[in-house]
Amino acid sequence: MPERHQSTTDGERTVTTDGGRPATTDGEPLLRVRDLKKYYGEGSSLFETLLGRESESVKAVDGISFDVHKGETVGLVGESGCGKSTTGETLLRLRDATDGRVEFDGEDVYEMDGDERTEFRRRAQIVFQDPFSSLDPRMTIGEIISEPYRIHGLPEESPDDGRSKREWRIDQAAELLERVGLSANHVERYPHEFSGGQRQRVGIARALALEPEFIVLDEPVSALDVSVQAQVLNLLDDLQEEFGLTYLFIAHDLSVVRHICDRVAVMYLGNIVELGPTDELFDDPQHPYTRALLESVPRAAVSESGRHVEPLAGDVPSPRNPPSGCRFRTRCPQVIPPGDVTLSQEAYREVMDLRDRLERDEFDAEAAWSHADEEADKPGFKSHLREEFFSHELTGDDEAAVEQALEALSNGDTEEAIAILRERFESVCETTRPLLQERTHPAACHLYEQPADAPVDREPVRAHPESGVVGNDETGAEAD
Amino acid sequence: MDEILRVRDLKTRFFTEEGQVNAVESVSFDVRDGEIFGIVGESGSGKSVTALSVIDLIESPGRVTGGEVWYRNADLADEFREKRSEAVDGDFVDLRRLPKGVRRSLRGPSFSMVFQDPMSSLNPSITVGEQIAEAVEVQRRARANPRSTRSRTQGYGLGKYLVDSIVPGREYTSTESKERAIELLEQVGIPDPEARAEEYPHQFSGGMLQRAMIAQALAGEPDILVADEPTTALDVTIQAQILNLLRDLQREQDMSIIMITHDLGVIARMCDRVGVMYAGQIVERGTLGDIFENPVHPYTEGLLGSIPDLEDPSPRLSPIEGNVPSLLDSEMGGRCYFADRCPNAMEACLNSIPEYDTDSGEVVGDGANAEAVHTARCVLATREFDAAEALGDDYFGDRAEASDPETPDDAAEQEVVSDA
Ligand code: SF4
Ligand code: SF4
Repeated sequence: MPERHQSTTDGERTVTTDGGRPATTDGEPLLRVRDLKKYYGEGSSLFETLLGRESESVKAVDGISFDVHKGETVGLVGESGCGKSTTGETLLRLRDATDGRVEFDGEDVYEMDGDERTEFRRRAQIVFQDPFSSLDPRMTIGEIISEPYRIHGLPEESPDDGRSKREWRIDQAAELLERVGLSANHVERYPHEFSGGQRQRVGIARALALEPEFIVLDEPVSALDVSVQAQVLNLLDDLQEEFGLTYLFIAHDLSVVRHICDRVAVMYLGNIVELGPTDELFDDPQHPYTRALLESVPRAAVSESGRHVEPLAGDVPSPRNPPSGCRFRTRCPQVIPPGDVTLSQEAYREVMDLRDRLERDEFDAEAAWSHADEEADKPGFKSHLREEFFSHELTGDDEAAVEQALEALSNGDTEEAIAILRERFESVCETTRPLLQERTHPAACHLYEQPADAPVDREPVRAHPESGVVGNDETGAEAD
Repeated sequence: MDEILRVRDLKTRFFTEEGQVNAVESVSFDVRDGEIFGIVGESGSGKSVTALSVIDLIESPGRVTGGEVWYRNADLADEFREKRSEAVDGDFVDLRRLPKGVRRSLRGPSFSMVFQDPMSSLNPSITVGEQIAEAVEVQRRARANPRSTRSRTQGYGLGKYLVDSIVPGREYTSTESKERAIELLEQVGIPDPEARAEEYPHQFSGGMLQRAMIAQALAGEPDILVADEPTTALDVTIQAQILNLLRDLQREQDMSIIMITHDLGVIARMCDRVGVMYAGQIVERGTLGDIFENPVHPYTEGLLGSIPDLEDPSPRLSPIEGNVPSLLDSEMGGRCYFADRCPNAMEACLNSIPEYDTDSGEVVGDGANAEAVHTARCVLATREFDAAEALGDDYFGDRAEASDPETPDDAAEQEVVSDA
C-alpha cells in the first residue's frame, strides 16, 4: 500500500484549528514520555506487585513515547490490557517504571525527590473512573475535597480573617464544589448520598484543589450514563478553558475520545500503534488496527442498520508472550507476505494460521490421522489437513511449499514443516518491529515507510492469538 | 409479520426497606417473529427488570404485580383453552395466568437469556462442554416428557439455579448431548470446539465465554432470546464479533431477540424496532427511523444529544440536566416522570401521561390504537409546546439538586456500565 500521508516531518505537531479545538502552542512539551516500559512479574496480582515482587514478564507497557503540550488534550485509547491505564499511573509515578524516561516541564519525574516531588504531586493530578473507591466513606465531601490541602500542609498560615485553617480548607472545598456545578452546601454530605455523575464531579473538584496544570483523566466517564457523561465532558471542557489545564485522557470509548481530544494515541498490547491529530486520525486512520477499531464502533444512527462490519478475528494475545515483530500481526487483515508470494490475503492468513499452530505446538497429529483411512494413508491425512486449514486456492510455488510441509507432517516431522513454511512465507511483520515515524501522524506499520534502523525482532517467535483471557489479572494492571 | 409476544401494561414492584419501588410501570410492547426488538435506557430505567419480568425471573423482594404477557404458542393455547379460557386468546396464552410450573417449563424451549456477565450462567468448576451438554439434556428430557421433567429446567439460564439445583455430573449427560454441545460451540464460532469443550470457563477469554453462554442459551432452540447487555463488558472489536454472531443466529434460527442495552449504537446496528425506557416506563417506541430521526419525547431527544458522534465531533454536547428520579412509589406522584428535567415541561405535564399514538395523537389502549407503530408518553404527541404554559425553571426546585440520586432500584437493575 502506498504512503498515504506525506505530512511535514517537523517531528513535532501541526496545529489544528477546525472543530473549535485549541491550537497547540510552540515550545517544549509539558510532558515528554520516552520509551516508557512497565513490566509485571510472572503471575503477579496487583497485590504482589505492591509487595515489589516484579520480574520482567508481562509487558503491560513496552516502550512508548509521546508528548503532551501545554493546554492540549491527548487521548490514550485502546482495548482492555493495552496498557493505557498503566501508562497513566506510571508516568505520574504511582507505579514504578521498568524503564524509560518521563519529563514534566523539563524535569525527570523519576529523579525527583523531596520538594521537587511534592511540587510535582501538586502540579500533576489524576482522576479515576470511580474516585471514591479508595476513599474513606465516612469522610464528608468537604473533607474529601480539602484533603489534598491537609496533605500538603495548606494553608501554611492561619488566614487573617479569623477563620481556622480547617475552616479555610472547607471554604475552599465549597468554592470548588460550585466550580464543578454542585452546590456549596454539599460539603457536609457524604459520598453515598451522591449519584455517579455527582461523585465524578467531586473527584474532579478534589483533583483541582491544588491548582494543578496537568490532569490524567483515567476513564473518567466510563461508568456514567450517557446523559450524565455528557454533563461531565462539558464540565471538563469548561475547566480546561478556565484554568488552562492540560489533559491526558485515557479511554476506551472512541466517540468520547474524538469529542474531547486534540491528539490521540492508539495503543495495542503495550505499544502505541498510531498517533495523530484527532480529526486526521479519525478521518484518515493509517494503522490496520485503528481502522478495525473505528469500523467496529456502532454508530447511533439509522444508517448503522445493516452496515456490514467485518470484525477482527480472534482475541488480543497475551502480553506475557506477545507476538514477535508487529504485535497486531496475529489479527491483522493486511499482513504483508514476502514479495514473491502472490496469495490472496485470506489464503495467506490460512497458511500463517497453520504455521502458528505448529509453532505453538498445538497441532494434534493424532486427531488428523484419525480422519485418514489407515496408518499409511498419507494422502488421506493430507487432504484432511487441507480441508481443515485451507478454504482458498493455492497455486505455483506457494502450493508446492504447502504440499511439502504437509508431506513433512505426514512423516511426523513438524520441525521440517515449520522450516518449509517459514522459508517460503515469513512476513516482515513478524521479523521486524514496526516503529512510529518522526512526523505528526505516524503509524507503526510496515505498510508505511519505516525507519531504516527498525530492530529485527525474532524473539519470542511464538504467537498466541487465542490463548486464554487477556486483561486485568494477567497484566496485573487494573482498569486497563 | 406476526407477533410472538405481546406485553401489556406490565408492572413490577420491589418492596424494599425504603418503600415500594415502581421499577416497571405500565410497560407495553410487541415482539414480532424474527425481529430484534431493542429496549434502551440508562441505569435504573427498568429495562433489565422489564425483561426479567417478561420471562418470570423476578425474585423477592420484587414481584410482577400487574399486566399481561401474551405469548403465541398454539399447543399451549389448545392445552389451556378449556381449562383456563381467560388465559387464552386465539393462539396466544397469557403467561401470567398459566400455572407456575408451565411458565418455568418454557425457559429453554421458548425463552432463553444471555447476560452481560457470562459467569452468571456458567459454573466455574465444570467444563464448558459439560455445561452445555447439560442444557441440551434438560431440553431433550423436557421434550420427551413435557410436564414431569420440565421443571428441571427451573431457573434455566440463571447461573445460581444451575449451581444450586442442577449441578450436572459427568454421569448426567449422554454422548449425544455432548456431541450436540460441540455442534453448538461450533455454531457460535468457537474454534476447535472439541478441544475447547474440555476446558473450564476460566480458560476462555471474555468473548469466547460470551459465545459459550450463547451456545448454552441456544440449546433449547428458543423462540425468544433475551440478551441483556450482552456486549457491555466486551471490547469493541470483540463486541463487533458477538453482535454479528447474534444477528446471524437470529436469521438462521428465525428466532426473535429482545436486546437490552444502554448503547444507542448497538440498538442502531441490531434492532428493527426499539422502546426507550425512562423511570420504569417505555416513554417512546417505534422503528429505528422513528426513534433516531423523528423522536417526539424530549428524553429521547436528550439521549441522542448526549452521545458524542464518532463521525462528527460537534464542539458541544447537549446533555440532559439533572439526574434520574427516585422510583419510590411515595415520591413519584401523578405527573410525567421526566418533567423535572424536561426543557418543555408545561402545566399539562403535571398529570399522568398515557401512551399516545404520535400519528393520530390518540391514546393507545386496548382499542383501535393498540397496534400504533410510533408511540410516546408525552403531551407533545398531541400538541405543540407553548411557552406561555411552561413551568418556571425553579418549579421543581434547583434542577441540579432536585433529585435524590442513589435509588434502591439501581441495585435491582443489576447493570454496570463497562469499565473495560
Ligand atoms: S506491520 Fe504488518 S501486521 Fe502489523 S499492522 Fe502493519 S501490515 Fe498489519
Ligand atoms: S409530557 Fe411534558 S414534561 Fe413530560 S416529556 Fe413531554 S413535554 Fe416534557
